[in-house]
Formats: sequence, C-alpha cells, structure tokens
Amino acid sequence: MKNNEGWGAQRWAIHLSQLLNATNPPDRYRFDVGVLAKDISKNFFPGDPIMEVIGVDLEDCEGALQPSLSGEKWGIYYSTNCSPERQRFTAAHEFGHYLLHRKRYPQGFRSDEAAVDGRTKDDIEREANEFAATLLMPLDDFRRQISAKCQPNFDQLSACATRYDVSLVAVILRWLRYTEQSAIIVVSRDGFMKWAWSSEPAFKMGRYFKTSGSPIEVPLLSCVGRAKFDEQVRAGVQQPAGVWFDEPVREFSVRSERYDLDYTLLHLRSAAAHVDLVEPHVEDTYDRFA
Amino acid sequence: MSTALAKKIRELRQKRGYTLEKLGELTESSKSYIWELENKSPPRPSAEKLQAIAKVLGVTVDYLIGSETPEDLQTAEDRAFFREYQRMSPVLKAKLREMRKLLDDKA
Repeated sequence: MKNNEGWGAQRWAIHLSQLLNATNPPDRYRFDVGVLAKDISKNFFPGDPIMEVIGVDLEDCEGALQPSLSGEKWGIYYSTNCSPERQRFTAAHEFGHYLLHRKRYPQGFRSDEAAVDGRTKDDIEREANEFAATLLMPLDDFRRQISAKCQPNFDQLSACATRYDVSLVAVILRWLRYTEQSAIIVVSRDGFMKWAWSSEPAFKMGRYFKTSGSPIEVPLLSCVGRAKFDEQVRAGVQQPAGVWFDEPVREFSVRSERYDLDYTLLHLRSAAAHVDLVEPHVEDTYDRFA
Repeated sequence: MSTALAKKIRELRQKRGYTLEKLGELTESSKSYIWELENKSPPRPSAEKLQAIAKVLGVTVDYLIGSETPEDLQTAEDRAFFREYQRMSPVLKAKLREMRKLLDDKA
C-alpha cells in the first residue's frame, strides 16, 4: 500500500479516477459513490472505515460526515431534500472530508449548500469540493466534452450533467473554474441574486457580483429581470451594452420551477479582446463569493 | 440557506399574493430588505418590524419566530460539533447522535 499521508484533493481524486479507469465499468462516469467510498476506505484505512453512505432528512444541511461514538467507524449522510444528482455530489464531498480532513477534525463535518459547491471562504470546504468535482468530472474527459476556449450553451452543459450524473450547477461551476472565457453564472430568485460566480478571466476584468453584501437586483432589462423564459432565451440572447455591463453580453436564462430559482449564464467578450485594457488584478479571489 | 423565519415570510407573502414591493410598502420597508429577510440571514428584525410584518401577513409574531433557537441556548458541544452549521433542530441533532451510537454496531 502506498503512503498516502498528506495527499491533497487532486492527488486523491486522480488516484481514484485511475483505479476506476483501470476497472473500466460499463457506465464509467456514473459510478456509485457510496460503494466506492466504502471499498476504498476499507482497503486504505481498515482502522476506521466508512460503514454507511445513506440519505437522511438533514433539514437545511446538505451533507454530513460523522464518526461512531468509538471513533473507529464513519458514516456519510446526504440530504434527501434535493435531486439525486446533488445527493451524489454531496456524498463525494463528504468522502473528500473523510480522506483529507478527518484526522484534523475527528468530530466530523456538517456542510451546507454553499460549502458543497465550494462557494465559501473556508479552505476545508473548498478542498472537499475540489475533490468531489475532480473525482466526478475528471478534467481530461471534461475538456474533451467542452474545451476551455468554447462558449457552451445550456444544452451542451446539460449533456455533461447527464454524462457525469451531476447537477447542471456542478457542471457550470466545474467549467467556470478552468475556462479561458469570460463567463458568469447568476442564480436568482424574485429578481435578486442569491449568488453568482465568475470565471477567472471575467473576475480579472472586474466582471463579478459581490452577493455577500446588500442584495443585488438582476438588471430590469435582462431576460431574467423581465421573467422572460422561453426557448430562445434558453438558447442565448444577445444583450446590448448597458443591460448587464457596459459591453454586450450573451445571456442564457432558464427557470427551475423545482427549486424556485432562476439560472443565468452570461458570456462576455473573449478574454483576449480585453488584454490591452487591464491592470493585473490584486483583489482577493474571495470577493467573488456569495 | 434560509431559516424557518425566512420560509414563513415568503410563503405567507406569496399566499396573500403580495409582491416584494407590496409587502415592503405595507411594512414601511424596502423591497430589498424584504428579499433579504426571505433569502439571507440578516440580523433578526426589530420587534416593531416583526410586528408590522406579522400583522400584514395575518399571523402572530410568535408564529413567525416560533421554532428559532436563540444563539445563547446552544450548547458548547453543539457549537464545536456543528462548526458552521448550527441551525439544526434539536430533533435532528438527537437523531444524528443516535446514529453515531448505532454506527459502532455495523459490521
């Protein structure tokens, strides 16, 4: 057995991906996270393995990793108040906590929605998210589906969500974290932003919404601002300068009745077009957070 | 991340067919403040404000804040154990502790 003390999120996720590639099951990317977590923990850490991975009603909480009273066994629990795809991602997130953090936090973890998405200042939660995203959506394969240079629409992103058995939001956040394009996701309700996330190039341009402060309204002239959700808006509408920013933007918006939320994807001009205009950014990346 | 108070206000507002603006108007609050109450976790509104909201929505203040546990009633153990997440009900906390016991018997 390898010495895996001190392995980080990437190292673990890539190692497990290689194991999965080697066995190459029929539905390679839609594997059962619970089975994997139990098998791997039993093999690598027989002294304190994961004994159960189950769904329970966790109220407003998304997931939990907790030890038995003796501390010799672990359980992963995911909220049943959300979609199966989201439950699977949460299980992977808690598995990440187990592999990376349980020695430092022997009492275990409770994770809320922003934590599972990695939209938090907390390094611990971001590491668990990085593990989950890398394990469920391996970068080599993801890049073949949507390249770092392309500007995907909801159909392409949804196809990826199906391929990896994860939520649309998980796919969009995964893509935003490596794309070379300037793009933003905005999640809103009743005309105000719940949270937003910018790709690095968009962030460096100052194109981000700081939703942790006072509520920010979505632009009244935008499709989402006018509650206009049809096939055309889903496929992308060109918005002139002045609607979202002082530059034209391509807006894609859909409403999720199920979650009572509106999802908007914004594609800005390509990063290259901005290069001459910008100062190097010194701002803390946390400013982007919800 | 919405609390019980937030959910109740939003549900009652929608049931009465009020927009954010309308409820804001009726309670002398801004539209964005009502949205914040429903979607974020701002400090609890003043007793006066709560009363105004309860009155307009046709419920009592007690109903609105009923299941909220004041911060100081939480035990030190809960604070440490739940790290960021302290809003679970006592019922769920008890259930999770029970599950820790049962987990030891799993083979």
